[in-house]
Amino acid sequence: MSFSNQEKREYLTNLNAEAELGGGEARMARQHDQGKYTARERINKLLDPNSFLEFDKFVKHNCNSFGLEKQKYLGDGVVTGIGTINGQQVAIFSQDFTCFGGALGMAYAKKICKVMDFAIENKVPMIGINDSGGARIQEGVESLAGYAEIFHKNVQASGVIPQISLIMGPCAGGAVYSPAMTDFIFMVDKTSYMFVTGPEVVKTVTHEEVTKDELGGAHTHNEKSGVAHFICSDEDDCLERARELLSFIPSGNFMKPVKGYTADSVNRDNHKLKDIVPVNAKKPYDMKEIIMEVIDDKHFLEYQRDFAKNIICGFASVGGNKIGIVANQPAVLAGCLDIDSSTKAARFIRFCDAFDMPILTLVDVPGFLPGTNQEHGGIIRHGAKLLYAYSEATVPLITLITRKAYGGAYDVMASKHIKADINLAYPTSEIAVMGADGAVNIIFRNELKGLTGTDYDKKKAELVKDYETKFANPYKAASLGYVDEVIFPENTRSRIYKYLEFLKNKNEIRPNRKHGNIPL
Amino acid sequence: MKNILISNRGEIAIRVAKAVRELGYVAVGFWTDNEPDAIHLEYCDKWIHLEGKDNTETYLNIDQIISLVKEHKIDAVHPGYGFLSENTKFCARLEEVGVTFIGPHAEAILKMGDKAISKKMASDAGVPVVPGSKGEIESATEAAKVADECGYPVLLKAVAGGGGKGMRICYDAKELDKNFEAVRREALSSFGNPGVLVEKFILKPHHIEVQIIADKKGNVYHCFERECSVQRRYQKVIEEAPSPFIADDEDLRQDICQTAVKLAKAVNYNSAGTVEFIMGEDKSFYFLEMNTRIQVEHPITEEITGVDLVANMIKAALGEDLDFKSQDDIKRNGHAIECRICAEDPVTMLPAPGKINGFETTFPQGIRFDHCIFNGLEVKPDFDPMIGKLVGYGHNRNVVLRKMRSAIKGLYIEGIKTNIPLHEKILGEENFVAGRYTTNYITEIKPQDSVADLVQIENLYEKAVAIEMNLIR
Amino acid sequence: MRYYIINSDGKEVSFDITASQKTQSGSVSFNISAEDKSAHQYFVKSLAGKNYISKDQLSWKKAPEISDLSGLVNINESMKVYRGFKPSGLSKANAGELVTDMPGKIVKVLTTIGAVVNQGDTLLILEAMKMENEIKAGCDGVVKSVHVKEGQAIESGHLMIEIEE
Repeated sequence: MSFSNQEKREYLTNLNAEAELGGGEARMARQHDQGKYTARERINKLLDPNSFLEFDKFVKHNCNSFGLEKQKYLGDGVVTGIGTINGQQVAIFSQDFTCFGGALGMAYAKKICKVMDFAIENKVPMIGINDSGGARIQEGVESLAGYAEIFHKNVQASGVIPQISLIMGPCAGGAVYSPAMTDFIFMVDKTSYMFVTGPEVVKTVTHEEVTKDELGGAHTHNEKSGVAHFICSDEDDCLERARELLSFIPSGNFMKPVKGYTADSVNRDNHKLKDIVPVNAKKPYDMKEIIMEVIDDKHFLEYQRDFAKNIICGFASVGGNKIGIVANQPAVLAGCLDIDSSTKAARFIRFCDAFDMPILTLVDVPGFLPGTNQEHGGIIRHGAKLLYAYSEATVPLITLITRKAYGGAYDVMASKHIKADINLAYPTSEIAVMGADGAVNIIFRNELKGLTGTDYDKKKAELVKDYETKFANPYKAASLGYVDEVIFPENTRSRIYKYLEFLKNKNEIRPNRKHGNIPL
Repeated sequence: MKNILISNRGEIAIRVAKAVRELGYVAVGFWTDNEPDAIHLEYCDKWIHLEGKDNTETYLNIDQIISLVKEHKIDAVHPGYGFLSENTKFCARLEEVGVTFIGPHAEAILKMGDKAISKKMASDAGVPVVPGSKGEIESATEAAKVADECGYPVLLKAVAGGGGKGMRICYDAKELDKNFEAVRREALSSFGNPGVLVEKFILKPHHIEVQIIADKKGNVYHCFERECSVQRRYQKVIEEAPSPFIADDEDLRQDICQTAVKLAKAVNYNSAGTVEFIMGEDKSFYFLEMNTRIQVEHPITEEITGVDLVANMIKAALGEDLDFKSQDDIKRNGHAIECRICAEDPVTMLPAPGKINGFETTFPQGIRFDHCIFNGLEVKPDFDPMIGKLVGYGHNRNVVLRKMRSAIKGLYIEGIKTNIPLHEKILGEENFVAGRYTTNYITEIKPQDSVADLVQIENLYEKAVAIEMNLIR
Repeated sequence: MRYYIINSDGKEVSFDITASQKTQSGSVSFNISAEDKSAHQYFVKSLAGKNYISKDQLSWKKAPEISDLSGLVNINESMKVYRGFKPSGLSKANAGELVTDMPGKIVKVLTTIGAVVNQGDTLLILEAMKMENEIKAGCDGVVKSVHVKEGQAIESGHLMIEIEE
């Protein structure tokens, strides 16, 4: 007996409804009880209404081990597809914790790989919502294979399309490596965690007692490990931050970000900046104030805000042009460069370079942080990462030295010599090998030898003053062309905008090679 | 060519600058650090920087203004209203440097600026004054005696007060006794002068004022009256000319206008000014105070008489003849209403500073809008929240109401809260439409309570669509 | 494009606007889908350099002229407009506790228990990394306790001053 058209339509409607229930009403309620949305709810909230086109809704797994054949879910525990966010096309997958705890199997992994392929071929950003217990043990090595295929695709996509991971639940074991290789990781406070080995195993091996949150919660990864880039107070906040990020970055490589609209005049004077840099070199100030004054609408999306606070990274726009900003923060650790800040900034710079976003660097750095922690921790190779990243970058680089730029740190922070395009300096800047105090101790060792007490103080003060007059300024560097222009702080914004407009069509060719060997 | 400095800002600076240029003189205007892009500069030929962080250092800084006046060889200064317009020290300093003050002579400002002195002068000149104490009252017992004479309710008023501050109503002897010391203390701390008067408190009062214009040749004229009874916290909200309460009672009109002229002549008044009266339901009127400056609501008088008050004020100060030769030359015709447009919450009527990011006017015929608004204007807390005056003129009161209703709908200001919705409500409220209101209008009728009805989500959708349209183009 | 319109009390209205191609008459149609799933359609047409808006392409009125997104007013509610995303609502750390995030030495303590302070007042000077850091009050209030003294060397994370708001 053949079915009528009406019956066939009803069958599809019912199948759709079944797929949308995922693991069932009870499990969905449990998600809500924990303060989490379901996979589909997240997609509907994030994407523009009625814009989601789902792929592979009816895919099922083929595993026959351990009785798993009795439990099959339509979609196999992950929702994948494409849609738009504020009109911008994106590809998305959302792991469904209500099906097998979001555990990954072969069919599941293939779905993700398919949508990732689509994203790469069509140059749209890939957004992954992670909420999974890990590999599906019943599927054995096929789960591991599934993960590996995803990891491979992450790498193929890296630098081609922006990849964003929203961690909205557990992400443990091998599964963490996929987000780890994406460009941006968002974590939701209290309901998300990431670690390679969980607290139970940790307890048995190292006998440490630690909670999931302490080991790999949102705060841990945002403040201590530097794994995550954004922390969100709840899932709604997380989705909003993802939208915010997408408003800055382009859809793919070789596609410059679209110029945005701003009512903030590019000719706005920065009066506030006239006195912001204290004349007393020992007084710190908040570099973020300079950033806020210069950018459009005071809108700054900070990257890794709570990690390595001695360097500030983030996205902003100037005159509608979307840029990345890297700036030393004199209010934290005197703005010194160290292991964490070097790696943080290096990764950020490489993202901006990969996606054609100009970088504005604000420099106030007295040097690298001294100490055995740093040396034994490998500041040599980590600091080199930052230098490598800047040197490798071919996007427009605009550097502004606000106060100190000493020693090797001067070279590293996008100096002229590593091919920054425009180097500016404030009249308050000091470009030198080191500060007056240290320099005088070395250069005038003989003059100071044998002096004590007030004689020593007087001679030292005299020599320091002499040194400061000669070297504590940008003019030596300016006279050699290492600084293109010494500007008045009140013109900062309009200057930067003008240079950005000129550098729009910058095209730099580098020698062909498979890839360099950045110290890791 | 004479340089005439307008020592003010906002819409009045524009108004005065227009008159200065019209008379063929050079309009000189100020700009300050907190308002370097003030729109009144558009109407000025020369722009002078007035330095300072706030009003005390700028528009109220006599020393700086005098030195700038000397430096730029200013011939005359128009103070506008507020700021230094009724400051006798300023007047005297200008005289010292030989610069003309466009306003009355210093003695008139001094005498009319003090409530006790002006009341005495009025009384001496035969002008009816509010029954009450002849001068300052020293004790509660003395206050009680005066109150018994003129009858309760009475008003305890600080002599140096103004703008509605330092006043308390007492409905019986007990309340009078309770409030007397409190008012004295308040007066001392707010105005530095503990002097207190006792006055009969008029129930169902109307605020009627008469515009005076005089020259330095002894001529004093009136330009008819205005009614400003729609007020809250003693600040005027809507004014109209002529008074709907006086209406066709020409005898009453003549009486009150001539009385005002009588007072002006008694102080040898020689500029533009306003004599304020309080009129009860029984049409008896009493002198309140005299404002020795050009007032905010002068446009409605200009509309119904055709007299350019500001131009004439300047001419008078420079010793020239006015535009007319006799009182008979000044005739009134038609009706005018003014709505003060302020940057304030339409329900609570508290100031609401902010930045204007949208401004459009679509008015019917017969509308005048004196304002200092432009797209991008930042209304700051240290300046006057009043940003414009919407004035309508028509054949008669009903015609004006019709035009004003259409005009208020066509006034679009975005980015800040304004009292435009409040005006919309009042212009349609039946008591106001009937011309039936006293100074208790706002407190009794409470038109602000129904303003919230105007809130609609459709408004938001339309605005969002408008924004989107501009951004996607 | 998602719009969030939030008033000063935190009340939020959000909806999505999608613009479609110009119609034959040259007007652009906008579809609004609101939170409550209701749908509204508006048409916008340009005339003499100004925009006009209509719901039915027959009755037109002048569209609001808004030059920047900073503020919208709906009668007596002033609201902020956010286009695309809602800004972060993460509350700042307890502003009443001043904790140092770097080790250093207390050079000067400029306040005492019971002192009334305003946000931004400098309460103590901490020397760290050869820099004199001014530690400022994060909020208005009264100083509840001072846990450090001049000359004391402290580690990062040390609670220095508590302010009661």
